[in-house]
Amino acid sequence: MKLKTLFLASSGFLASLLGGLTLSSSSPQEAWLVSRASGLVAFVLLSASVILGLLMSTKLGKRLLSGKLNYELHAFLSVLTLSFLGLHAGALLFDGFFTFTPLSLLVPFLSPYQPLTVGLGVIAAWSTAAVAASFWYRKQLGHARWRKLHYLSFGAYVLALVHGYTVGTDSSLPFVQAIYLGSALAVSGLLAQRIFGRKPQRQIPRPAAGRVIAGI
Amino acid sequence: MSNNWIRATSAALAVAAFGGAFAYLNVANGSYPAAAASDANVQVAAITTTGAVSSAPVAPSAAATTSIAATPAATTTSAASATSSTKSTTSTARTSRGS
Repeated sequence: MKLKTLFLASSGFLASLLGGLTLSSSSPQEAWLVSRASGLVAFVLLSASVILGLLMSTKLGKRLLSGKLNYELHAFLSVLTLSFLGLHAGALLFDGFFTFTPLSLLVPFLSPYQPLTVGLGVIAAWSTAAVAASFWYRKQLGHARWRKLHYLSFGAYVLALVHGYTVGTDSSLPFVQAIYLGSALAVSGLLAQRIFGRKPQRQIPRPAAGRVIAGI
Repeated sequence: MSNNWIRATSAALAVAAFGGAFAYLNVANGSYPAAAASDANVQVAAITTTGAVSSAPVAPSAAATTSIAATPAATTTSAASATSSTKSTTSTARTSRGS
């Protein structure tokens, strides 16, 4: 199944989930709860995607998953992150306390609630979307450009962490703090390994035995 | 395990995590729903800059702005008490959002 199909299917499912929840609820705080829960899940998925990407680039993930499977899961998790980000932002349109408009959700720093830190979250979401979209256009972009664009994911991760911790009304809960701390430790540890660790040696192709013999 | 199985499993896990997070946040922040419900329908008296008390319903955010800005010297005793009750209501509303 193609990533686009999966993305459309998961988006449709989440949109129907959101619609069902908001229509069935009689109180406005349900939308706020949906937004908070989906925001947390989106952060966990983004963390997992970044961690899988770092496991690939540091070659530490070879023992856990095959390279192809790791890449597929890495790409799929970033797409799944987008679906939950859509739910996270879309639910705010139904919030009964703040008046969010589609424009304030799409354009950074226009939010009626903590515009600066919510704006960081909007930038993080757009960056995540750009990185996720780059999986579909990898061939057209070329490896070098795709790789450079991929570095956006680190910025997106940091902005998402700052956004979640500062704006999230659940940051004082121990479970939520454990999620932020565990994710930050894992990502920073792997990133340190990626930067300061031993560079993966490039395999130098050796001539086949048959050719050597033939050359003699 | 095929790629589709891994994708389906991870998507199912994510949806389950969403359900779990929704339930957890609902329970862990138990005081929020009641406070939010009262916030949404709150009707507070607004103090105008001249010290007059308006009985018209005002949104909590607007009431907060008005109550902070409106501290006229000629405020009567009843207006002052209304101001303090407005501040108290607004404070509850803000705390409920945890901002």
